[in-house]
Amino acid sequence: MILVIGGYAAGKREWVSRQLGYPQAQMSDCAEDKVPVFYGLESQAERFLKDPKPLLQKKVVICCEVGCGVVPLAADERARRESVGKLCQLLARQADCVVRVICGVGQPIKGAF
Amino acid sequence: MVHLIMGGAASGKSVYAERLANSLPGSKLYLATLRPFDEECRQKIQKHQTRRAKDGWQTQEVFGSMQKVWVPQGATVLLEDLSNLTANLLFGPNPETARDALLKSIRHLAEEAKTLVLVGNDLFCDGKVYPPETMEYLQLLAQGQSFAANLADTVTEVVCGIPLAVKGPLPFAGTGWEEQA
Repeated sequence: MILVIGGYAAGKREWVSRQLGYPQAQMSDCAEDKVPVFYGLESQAERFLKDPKPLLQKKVVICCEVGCGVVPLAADERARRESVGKLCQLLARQADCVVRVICGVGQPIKGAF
Repeated sequence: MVHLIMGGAASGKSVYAERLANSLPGSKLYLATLRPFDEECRQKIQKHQTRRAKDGWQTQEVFGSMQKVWVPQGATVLLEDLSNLTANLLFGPNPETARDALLKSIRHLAEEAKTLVLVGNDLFCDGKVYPPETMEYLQLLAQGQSFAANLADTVTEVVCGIPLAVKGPLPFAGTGWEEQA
């Protein structure tokens, strides 16, 4: 599995399409869909923290980085940031490759794609 | 030696900083900065304490300036973290001297410790505009972290538990991933 992270609108899906050859039709934000690329992890982290297995079976998992801002005042927003961070660490550990996308450019930070 | 470890929330920066310190010889002093003002803070403190318990750390809580902290000779000092230190100074009893106290705290620890490991926080990338007191806080934290980076031999950013060299070589070859239960 390749984990792709980056900020909002960093060009993560475009990068996956261009560099890894998966068209949009093979990407979904529903992990149950039988497509190789899953995106939108940042809004479903709580669920997958309990059971990450569906994600480990994907070829590519795409997640927005959400941890680099001011600590939110609302407890549930703080908890969500923690969950996304923990889950990304767990996935990075299992992943063959981790790519960080900045301005549409992918920088491998673990392994190679 | 001074090492600055940066990262976002739950990036693995604390675990990486602790492993770096654990890899060094000599005594270890942990400077804690988080005030236990609610249950969430207490849980966070408890989690960090449990992790350190087995590794022979001496812990000191400092909720203000670090300028008078006594450091045992030859010790490795881990300051966790710069965002709490900055908040303690700027929102404490003497905000007018916060900048001076922040920079002097960092310099004092750098001079006294054999190795100083500073944990910083990337709070700067959500693109939002906050009320003036928050913007002032962000500017002060940025100044403190830039000062620390300038002083530091190495600066490392931890992303998903993976350390990335920003300045100098990686100070420690391992990762920031938590031990698996």
